[in-house]
Amino acid sequence: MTQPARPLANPLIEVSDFDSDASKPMVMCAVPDGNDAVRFALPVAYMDLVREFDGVRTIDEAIDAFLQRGQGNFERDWLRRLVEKSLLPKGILIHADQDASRAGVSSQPKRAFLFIKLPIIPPSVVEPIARRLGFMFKTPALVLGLILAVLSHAYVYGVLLTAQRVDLSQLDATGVLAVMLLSTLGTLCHEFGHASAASYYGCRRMTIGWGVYIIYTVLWTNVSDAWKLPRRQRAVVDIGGVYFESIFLLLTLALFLRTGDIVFLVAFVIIDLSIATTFNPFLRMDGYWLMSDFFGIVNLRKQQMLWLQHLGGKLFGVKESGPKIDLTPKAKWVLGIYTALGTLFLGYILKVIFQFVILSIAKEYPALLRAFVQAAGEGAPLIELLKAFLEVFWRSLMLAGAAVTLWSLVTRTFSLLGKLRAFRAQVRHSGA
Amino acid sequence: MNNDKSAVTVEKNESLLVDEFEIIELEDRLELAGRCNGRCDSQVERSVE
Repeated sequence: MTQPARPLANPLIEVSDFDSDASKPMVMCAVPDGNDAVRFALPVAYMDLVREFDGVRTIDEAIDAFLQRGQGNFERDWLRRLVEKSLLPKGILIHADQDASRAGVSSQPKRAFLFIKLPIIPPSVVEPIARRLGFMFKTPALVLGLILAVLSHAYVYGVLLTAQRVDLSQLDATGVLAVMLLSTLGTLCHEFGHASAASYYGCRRMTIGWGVYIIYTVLWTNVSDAWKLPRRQRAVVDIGGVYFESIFLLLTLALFLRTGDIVFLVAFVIIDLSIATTFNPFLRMDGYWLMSDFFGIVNLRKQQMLWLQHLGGKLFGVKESGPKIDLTPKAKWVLGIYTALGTLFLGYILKVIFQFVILSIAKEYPALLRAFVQAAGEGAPLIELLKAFLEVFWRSLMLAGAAVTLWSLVTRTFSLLGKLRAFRAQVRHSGA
Repeated sequence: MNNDKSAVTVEKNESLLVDEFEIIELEDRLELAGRCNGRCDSQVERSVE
């Protein structure tokens, strides 16, 4: 005869209060997965249930003990399904013979929402540096940084750029490469800004990497541990990147003033353009996380899909159309507006992909490729060869990114149409 | 066994990261920053001319 299962609460999970705009109190539960952790937000009552599992009680006995405490209005069968279909598979509860340190199971793809995701600086390097830079988030340093950022921008755009015209044609191959290098260094500073803010608030396991997102080459920092922080601190982590990049801009300006080399002024403007892009809330950059943290809507993009799914369900008169959105009315309004504007932005991105990537880049690509092959064959100087290579390289990434984005949109549209058909069938079936 | 694997893949691609019990898997917080490539060059030319 089979012995009944006697699960236990995973002893290695880290539980903290979760600050969001959910309509009921939530906790954040980090379940180790052997590498980092998989993080779940769940209603507080579920953790009270989890604590009843001691490895001695059976599932039914633990549920009985929970119900006897009179916490919440739950049915026994529903709780059993919760345990078997969710808490056990997610590793929040484990069986006695299970490795608690590898119990976490994620349903996210490893490369998350990126087309390419390569870790380049491991936590063992990021964390000591971030810890040392944490003092930059003390109030006096933040105020000083803000004042200097405002003054430097006023000086560059109000004085320097009105006095001289900046044209990239003034730059030779070395100059263009130098601007690209400075921009990359600025972005690296940006990433250390996120990591340092996270470290200042006690987060760990930050990794910095490189990747391709839609058609953009990006650097990224994994600050998933920041989910445990209050929303205000999460927002500082989001801003930390721009703060550090603004300090890098001060250095660029100082170098321009000292040397008079136009490269530094061009780099200042280019880095500023990257900063402006990063505040766009419809790309998964700093603006996205700021919006998510400011309004307390977690997994903003996924909630958007849920919202659309519910809207589709309502249109076809289906009451239960997938998981519920557990948000306050205010957050639901914000999500609705965000979804509507996001759809318009999607149209804009498609226009950019079509006009910039397909019409422009794809058209000039064969000629640039030929130029690179020719330069390599003729033994061109290294700096010219490197520039020709980079010209081909970033265009290749953009073309590949655009192809993947378009493919993903097509498959998602078919998936959505499939769901709508299922809704219709459900309505017809219930009508019959 | 192979069928199981493909089922997991589909789940990963389409998952909304929330289950019927309203347990939400929090998405990886990757803070991205775009870096300059040739596209910035054409942008800056347009913006400062």
